[in-house]
Amino acid sequence: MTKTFKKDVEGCNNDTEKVRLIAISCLSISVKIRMKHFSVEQFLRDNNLMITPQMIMKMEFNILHEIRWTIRPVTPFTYLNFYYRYFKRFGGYSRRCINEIIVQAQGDHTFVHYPPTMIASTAFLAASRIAYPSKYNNIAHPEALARLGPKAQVLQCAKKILKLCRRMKIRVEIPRIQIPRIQIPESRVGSTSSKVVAVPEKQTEYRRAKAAAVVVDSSEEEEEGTALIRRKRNTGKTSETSQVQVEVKVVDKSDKKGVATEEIEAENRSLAKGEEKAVEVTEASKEEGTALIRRKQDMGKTTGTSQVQVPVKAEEVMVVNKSDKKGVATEEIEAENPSLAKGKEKAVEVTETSADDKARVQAIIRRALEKGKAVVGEEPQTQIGGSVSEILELVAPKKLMMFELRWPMEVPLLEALDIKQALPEVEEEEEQESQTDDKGTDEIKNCGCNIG
Amino acid sequence: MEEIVHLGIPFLTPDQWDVITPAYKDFELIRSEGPRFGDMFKCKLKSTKEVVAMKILTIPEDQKSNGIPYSILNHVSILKTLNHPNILKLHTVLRTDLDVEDVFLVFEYIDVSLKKFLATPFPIDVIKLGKPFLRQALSGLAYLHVQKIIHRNLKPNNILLSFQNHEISKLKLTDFGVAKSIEPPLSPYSINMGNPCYKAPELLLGFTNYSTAVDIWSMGCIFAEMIKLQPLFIGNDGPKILTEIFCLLGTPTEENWPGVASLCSFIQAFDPPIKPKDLAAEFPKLEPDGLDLLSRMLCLCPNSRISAVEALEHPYLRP
Repeated sequence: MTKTFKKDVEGCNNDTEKVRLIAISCLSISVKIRMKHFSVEQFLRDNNLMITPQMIMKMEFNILHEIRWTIRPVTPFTYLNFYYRYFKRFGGYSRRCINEIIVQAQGDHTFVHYPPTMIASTAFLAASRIAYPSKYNNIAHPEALARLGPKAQVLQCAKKILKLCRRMKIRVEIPRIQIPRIQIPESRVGSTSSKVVAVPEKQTEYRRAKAAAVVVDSSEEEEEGTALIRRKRNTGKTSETSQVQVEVKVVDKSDKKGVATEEIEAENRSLAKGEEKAVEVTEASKEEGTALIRRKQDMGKTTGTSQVQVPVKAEEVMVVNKSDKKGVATEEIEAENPSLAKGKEKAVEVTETSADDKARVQAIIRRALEKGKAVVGEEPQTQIGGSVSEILELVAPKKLMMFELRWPMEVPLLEALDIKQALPEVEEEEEQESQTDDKGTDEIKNCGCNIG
Repeated sequence: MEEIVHLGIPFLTPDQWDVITPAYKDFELIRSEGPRFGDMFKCKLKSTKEVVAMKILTIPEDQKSNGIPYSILNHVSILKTLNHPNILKLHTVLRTDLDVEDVFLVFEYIDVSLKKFLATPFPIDVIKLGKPFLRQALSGLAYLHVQKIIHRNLKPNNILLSFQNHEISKLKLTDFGVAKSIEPPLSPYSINMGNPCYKAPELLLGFTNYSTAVDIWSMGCIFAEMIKLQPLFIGNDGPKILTEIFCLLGTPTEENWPGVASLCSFIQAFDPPIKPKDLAAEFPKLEPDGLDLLSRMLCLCPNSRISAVEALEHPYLRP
């Protein structure tokens, strides 16, 4: 390191200044990746540092060159969604809590040697231990644990994380509505410990977990339900539309053949006028305000019903068209059932996107998007659009990292930096703590995990 | 098959020449996209005679006070994390030495972009090459999305191809200048980048919380363009493109896009909603499986749109 950086720490007088430059450059790289609006210049000025932005830039380049620009490390966060698939069966987890556990663990040097996957999975384990003590046996099932990594290492890491949670007093929240659901099984477990009861218990628990999952992912389960309805609706609709489309094609053909008479055109016009009016009304009502939206919606309903009528008449229309092709005068038919003609017209308007329609659509979009922009600008956090992942949607993005950082902030004296000496003491303390903790919960030992 | 419009030797400052001439030679400008995106040129590595493509990113004067700008950090670090046969590889990063002004990205060199191919008198035979094209492009995209990166700017210019014996030998996705890595905290994303023709409806509607599905949409548009030999949606701004989308695929409704009305209340103004056109009529050359995949890639609702991994499992692409 010294070789590479020698020429770039020229502005620095002593080692402290050099290290400071390197440290600040590391910080500025990482902070810029996180937040776009960080001002290095401001930071340097605020802290009265004798460092220029040019020095920072050069040092940043050197650091990046040395680490080959790999500034997107794999972290435990990367694996949260993966492990969540297993843990969500047992209940809800607040993403913010899991994040907090991981971040606090990053500040603890004893976790340095664990791979990120292990930190991620044990963070879930620790959270479940605190939030769902009664289910912990099921969650930390030996088979499940074996899949998380080398058993001894997993258990050790889980233990450490749990202790960290307790030491740092990390509050493990459970998504709200779940709390009453969890209290019930707890009491049951207390009274019945036999395996026979455990089977139905498991089932109900699963059901509950499923119900809870709705609260948590809010999308998945709900979607399943609505998907069915939607599919039903869609099948209904597609059959409608397909009929209508077939119909229109026939109409088009007959038009091409020149059978379409002026009368039809005339009626087209009148109907088009009606349509225009409808559009005008809807648009006007929209502009007028919310009170009028209802009227518009009602109108929508009426048009909706008229649409539904279309397919019913579609067959009749087809017959009509056949006769059209044959060159039979259209007057008669129109006279016979004017309503049918109307239906026909409607069908045409609904399916065919004429140039007029295009203009209409564009007008609506243009007008709305200018309004819409303002709305989006004000409230950019609304949850919509492409779901990034189930778990990410749980909490409003802003709050995901809202917690107090409890890393040791004071700079230790050089003598205290002898980590080897300091380590065993910490371990002993943890040992004692764990013994008291484990007295209450023997389940863990029962399931083959020797935590003690 | 030469894409290079011979633009001659790139115009560089003495400082810039000082950085690259020691190791590279035979410079030839291949693409000039203005100062913001940087010129592209090809050259030869002196040591191995390997032909490489080089892109210069100039640090704007007003951003120098902030160290390396976010855009460059983001761009290069994303490129560096990627390692996939269908993604253009970044070899090295150089910089002007004395006073950092420019960053040079050295890529592997692939001759032609899809855009140029579509413009030739003998364009790609989609019936024959559509499947291998989509398979490779989607596997690059699937890799990206697993890495939690959204490309956000897919278009025919950014897909490089090379051919051997009338088969696609290499397909590389490139230009990660506006790519975005998804990680918490999820701040609202920018919606202003990229060519509107290939923008997904959720982007055009102004949603700032979009995801990897926007790339699938772009890929669907590109695939459709390969068949039609012209962009699927033509227009020079968002509203125009949105109009084209809605006229082809119908206007979104609460049924096919849950939640759309609450965010874009004007959707209700499309009453009655415009019905989607029959894609089979629009793409008569395409086989039914291909049509199905295309319609899934061009699904209005981003949550229902097929993912890259799912698309690779689709009957159309199954070998």
